Amino acid sequence: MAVSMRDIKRKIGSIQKTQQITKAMKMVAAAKLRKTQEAALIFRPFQNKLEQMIALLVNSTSHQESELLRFRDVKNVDIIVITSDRGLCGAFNHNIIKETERFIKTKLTGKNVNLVLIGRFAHTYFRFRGIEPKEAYSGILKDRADYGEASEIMEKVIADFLNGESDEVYVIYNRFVNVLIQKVTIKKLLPVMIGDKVPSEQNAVEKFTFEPDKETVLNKLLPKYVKMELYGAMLESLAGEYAARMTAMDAATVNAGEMIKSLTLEFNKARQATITKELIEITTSIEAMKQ
Amino acid sequence: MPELNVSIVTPLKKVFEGKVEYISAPGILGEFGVLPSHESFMTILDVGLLDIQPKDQDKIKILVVGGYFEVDDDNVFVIADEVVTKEEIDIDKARENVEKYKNELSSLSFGDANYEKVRRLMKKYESMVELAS
Repeated sequence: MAVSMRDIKRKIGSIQKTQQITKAMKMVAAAKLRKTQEAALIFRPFQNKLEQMIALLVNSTSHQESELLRFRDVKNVDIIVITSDRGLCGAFNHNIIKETERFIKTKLTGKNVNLVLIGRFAHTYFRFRGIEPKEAYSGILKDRADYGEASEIMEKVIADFLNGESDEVYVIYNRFVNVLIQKVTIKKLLPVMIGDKVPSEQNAVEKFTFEPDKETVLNKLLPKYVKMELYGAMLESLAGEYAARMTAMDAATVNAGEMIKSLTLEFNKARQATITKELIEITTSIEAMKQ
Repeated sequence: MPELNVSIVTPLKKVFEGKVEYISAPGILGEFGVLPSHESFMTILDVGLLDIQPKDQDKIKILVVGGYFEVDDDNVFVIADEVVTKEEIDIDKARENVEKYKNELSSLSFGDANYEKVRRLMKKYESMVELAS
């Protein structure tokens, strides 16, 4: 009995240590989430403004004006998949992978799909299945989303789109809804679709003077817009990752607490059993001596 | 006197927001200045310095590396890809980089794939030196 008691005690100790770690991880994730949310708060008005301007311009120019707006027959598709670099965040990454595979199987049958992977998880997963991605980036989404990185990734993707290597570009990422919910989202990046976000003043564009001209301005703005879409997705994904990790670690902490409780109970039972056993031994030996 | 409401943002931060008497910016076709009651106007920015004269305050200079500029109804909106302020500049390094990219640029000819990129980098460090000194 004594051995088993020590075993239980050791087990409790190790779970307590795990609990401390999960608690700390939860707190770290919460702090990082707050920072990411702040970044998103700064970024959102910026994105809205640019979206408005683009919508205004797109609706007043012909769609043929810019290569990035033009639809073509779709043969080759690029998908940018955003996962996290690190694990311990519940089903966060798995949901993305599952959705990516479903999307390829159901919507893109017969098309040549190339993957651009952001985050170590996706890369490991697809490499294990023998699928080599076109590009794979890891170590980018660490603590913060970087606009420079997003812009570089997107520049390559845009270049491929322009020289005809891809006809459509999608991004798949976890959208941050709230701390408990991350929604897997598929968004088409190229060709740029803005159609229904038409601003109310139809003639607003008429009062502007453009330098050098409307088309050039639009052509310069479109890549910026697409880059920002990717940056926005990265930001959302990062916030989602921290939220997912927070929930996962919170659950782990609670579970560890429950485990400690039941182990403590077992420990007390074992202790009581030894005491009872010792008492029986004493009383029986006294009884034996009496005779 | 009317004034301009200027806000300058990058994807990462709000750089400047406030009432301004005059702002000049490096347009893609050359530098231009904007006073209150300017007509509605949109353009693309090159690499260079934004010159801002805020109301009742000292002049501010900000280095923008490409971007977008809009005036509408005395509201000025600048979206910059990247912004450098005076405090962030290491002048010796900037001078070094000016030389480096100048040399690189002279080996390229107009129309090369890298020409525009290198030119912008050179201009960026040149503007840094200008801003810091």
